Amino acid sequence: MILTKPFDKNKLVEFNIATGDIFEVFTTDSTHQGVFEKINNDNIALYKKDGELILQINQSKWNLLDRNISLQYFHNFHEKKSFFSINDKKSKYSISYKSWWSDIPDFTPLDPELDEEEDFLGYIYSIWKYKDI
Amino acid sequence: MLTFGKQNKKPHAEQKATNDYGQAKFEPAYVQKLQDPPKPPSNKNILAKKYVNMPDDLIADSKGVYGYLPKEESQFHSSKWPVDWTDKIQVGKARETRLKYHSELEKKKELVNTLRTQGISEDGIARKLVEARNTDRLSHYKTPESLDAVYNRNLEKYDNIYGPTYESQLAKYDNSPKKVIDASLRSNDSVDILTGIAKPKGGI
Repeated sequence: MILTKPFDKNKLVEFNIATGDIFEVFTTDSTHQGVFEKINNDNIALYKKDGELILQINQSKWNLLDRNISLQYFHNFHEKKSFFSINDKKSKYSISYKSWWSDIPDFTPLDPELDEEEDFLGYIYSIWKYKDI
Repeated sequence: MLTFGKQNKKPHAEQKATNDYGQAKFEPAYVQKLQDPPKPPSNKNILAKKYVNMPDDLIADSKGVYGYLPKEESQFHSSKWPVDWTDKIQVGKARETRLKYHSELEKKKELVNTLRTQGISEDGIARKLVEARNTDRLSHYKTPESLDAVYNRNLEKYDNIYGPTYESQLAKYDNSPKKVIDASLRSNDSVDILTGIAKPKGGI
């Protein structure tokens, strides 16, 4: 399926649901069906399928509409790193990565709404929290 | 690397943000006793009028300056968020930051109402809001160095010096202008409760 990268100039990728692999595409007749971002070495996709809102990280999938799912998102302000995790009864994934604001001098993001706007996983966390997609 | 020092002379670059607790000037009026929280005149419409559902990540606790504390798993727990919610001075500073955000939010809500009255399409309104939010966000960066870093980041991420484009926001929100508008007008209830700007329905 075709996914777009809203945090990377809206570039398009073709995402293989079975493998979690991507190929960059430059032109397509298809419209995008979700969003994608690569963080550290992980391929992270969000898309709708069969009435579910799927967060796929590499080959693992979670339905964000499932009430048994729990997400965490926060910053380590001293180390300028962000932390994201998702887990249900079967599986857990967590990642620590460079915060979106880490290269901005003299700045600490104290409005949490900024994370949804500036960080892909902050956006994912917000979508899960507000169920707004 | 591109630099945009000259653009720091733009009006938005001259605004002073208050979201750095380390540098922000302390105003004694903001640490009055809990029973009589400060109410700056310019924000009277915002204060104590917002009632929200109790967020899952908070608990009622009299040690909190406004009667609530984050649970340990909350992103706002003091082990993660740089505010001790039992400390009146720190919460006072957090409240100042929050009031500024809400002041900007109220302006955007007024903008939406005005544009709807004028018959502007949802698409047109959403586009205006994205621009307004970018302007607000840039006002948070206080130094030429931080603005240059943000401009460079924006170009790298969005191909737009000012921040996310309308098209990138549409991609995030299901290609729905209404959802872009809703996201632009969002406010985090947990922080609003912790800073005394909102109260849980039926709460203390």
